[in-house]
Amino acid sequence: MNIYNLLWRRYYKTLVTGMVLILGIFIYQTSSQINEWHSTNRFMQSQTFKDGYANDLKALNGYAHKTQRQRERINDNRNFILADNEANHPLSEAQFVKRGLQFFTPYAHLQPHPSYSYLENGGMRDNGWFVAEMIIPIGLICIVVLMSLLAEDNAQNFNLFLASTRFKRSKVMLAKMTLLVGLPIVAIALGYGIYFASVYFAIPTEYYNIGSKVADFGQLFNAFGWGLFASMIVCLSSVVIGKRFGSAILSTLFLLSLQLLSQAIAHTIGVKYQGMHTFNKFIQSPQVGVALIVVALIIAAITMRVFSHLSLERNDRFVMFSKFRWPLWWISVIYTGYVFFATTRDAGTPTEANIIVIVLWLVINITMYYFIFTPQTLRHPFKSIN
Amino acid sequence: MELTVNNLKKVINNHTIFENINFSIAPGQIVGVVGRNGVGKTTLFKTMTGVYLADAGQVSIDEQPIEDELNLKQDIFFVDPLNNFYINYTPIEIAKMYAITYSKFNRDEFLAAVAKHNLPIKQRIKNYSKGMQGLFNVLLALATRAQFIILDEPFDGLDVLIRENVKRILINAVQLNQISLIISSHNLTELDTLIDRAIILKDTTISSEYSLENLRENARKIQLVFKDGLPEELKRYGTVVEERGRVSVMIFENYTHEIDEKIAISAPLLYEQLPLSLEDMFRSQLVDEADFILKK
Repeated sequence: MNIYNLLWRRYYKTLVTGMVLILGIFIYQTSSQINEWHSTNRFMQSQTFKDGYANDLKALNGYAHKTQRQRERINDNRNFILADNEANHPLSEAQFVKRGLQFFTPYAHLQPHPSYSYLENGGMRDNGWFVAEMIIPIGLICIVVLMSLLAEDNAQNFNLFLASTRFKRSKVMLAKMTLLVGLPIVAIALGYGIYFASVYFAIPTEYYNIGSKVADFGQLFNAFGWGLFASMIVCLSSVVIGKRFGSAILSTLFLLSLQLLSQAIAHTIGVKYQGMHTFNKFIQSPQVGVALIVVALIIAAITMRVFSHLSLERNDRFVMFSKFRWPLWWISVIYTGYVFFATTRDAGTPTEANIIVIVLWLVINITMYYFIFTPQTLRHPFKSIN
Repeated sequence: MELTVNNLKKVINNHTIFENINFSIAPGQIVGVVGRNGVGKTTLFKTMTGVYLADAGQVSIDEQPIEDELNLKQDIFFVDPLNNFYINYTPIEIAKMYAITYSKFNRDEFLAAVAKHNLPIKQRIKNYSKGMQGLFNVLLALATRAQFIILDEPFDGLDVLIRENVKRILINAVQLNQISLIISSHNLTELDTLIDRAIILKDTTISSEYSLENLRENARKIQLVFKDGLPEELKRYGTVVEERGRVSVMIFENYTHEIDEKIAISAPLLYEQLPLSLEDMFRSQLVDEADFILKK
């Protein structure tokens, strides 16, 4: 465990701050959502609400008082099939209260008027976003912190120190990944645990409509897969790219390009515009989440192996492995070429757009050439490679 | 405990930095590694400690390669004074980290030594002066209780008082604990009074290795003046390190009776034995004939 102790001493200030921040966000959100629910509950059980319910029907959004069946028909534009007595009778007060106190908002992102849970002030409760989407900003912040910590290890020669110690290099890398990626994951998991447990105990069972969150849990798992995959890409690039911000910039660009890559793949396999929604849903599915976790674990193993074979004489260079330079550049040429040209290969793409894509592709790869090979003079970009 | 470097080779950017490096160090020895700038001394140290991976050869302690038995690395200490991570930490924080890395590290003794030498204990090392950093590096090295301590330019930037202090600390540590030191320095005057053995690196390998005791017994530095200039024949026996008009200074690594006779036969106008220093050996071994020092 000594290597973990050593790395903990190195990173503990950042890690503890990060974990406290993550847990703080979760605890704050949990507490404010529960308080808000209780406040609304008190209001809905109060005589004031009961007395004013008829007036509220006018004051509040009329759509809020429609039954589920009325809403579905309106959404389908088939409200004409409802019988008059059903069409003209909104929710009873008891039904309104029951619906208004549902803690979670189901399918918040799918329907135009999704929320049927309410706040005391007449606004809509939207606790649904929290389950699937809270992980995204937190995950992004964690990845930025991971990038900067790994870049500092190189820039401050901490890796040189680690390489001279008695710890096996693969274990050093494993320990780094465990601490820098694992602990934020533990904090996020703990945050969700606190959230769901607190809500479970604080909200009466009849309003704890967790069953409506199944789809969101699938998305949460998918987001976790993407987060782990992105973290491992950052770790891998940190043992290949030596420049302080080189690995951060390169891995960020790569991760951002994945959106284009998915479009390029969709075009290649012949997914038409109508099918893009299904394709995008597939990318956000739990199955893809599992695949990403598997790929992330493979990348982790590769990172450990690469670090074991890293001789640190080039630790301040863009590419720390001399023999990786040509393969890396060719990967850049082929990858950007595929992404750009497959995305814009439609017959309808204007010529100007094609020219811009070609220029962009050339600029990126010429820049990459200069970063990777650092030719000594611009006049002899090939001869003056070191 | 004996440290052995066996056929070590390192290639960087297709240039062989060094190859066929072989030497060994016994307990209580102080070895100086001497060579011109850029010959690869720091690279050698980094390769010996595993920071750089060797292209061939290995480093062993008691015949066990350290790459197979990583725990042996606790007995080798090296920090590149120019590129170390700990400048961003205070001595207290560094002590905690090194205590984890080196199991024999004594934190209290180390912090006491730091305080004793008036180094601020709550200040980051990067705020120390260069001399203070040099002293700190030596104290840290000794606190690890590693058997083999490698010091790269330990006297660089130190004033005369701190330099004397550092030398005294090092000699005491060697005498008391029988540790071994491997020191590279361009300050040959300091090295001369400290080391038992000198390893001279030249042209990617060890060009020669001297025991300073033997050197002082067998080598001679002689100033000679000849009426018609230095006889060519004499040049075969030694190295000319200085020539000014008819005055020549020669170093003979193994001054024998035969050389003495040859000089006598050549009938010099002046024959004077000068004190021989490590710097002279450096000149005789490492200064090329075309070098500007000879031409001045």
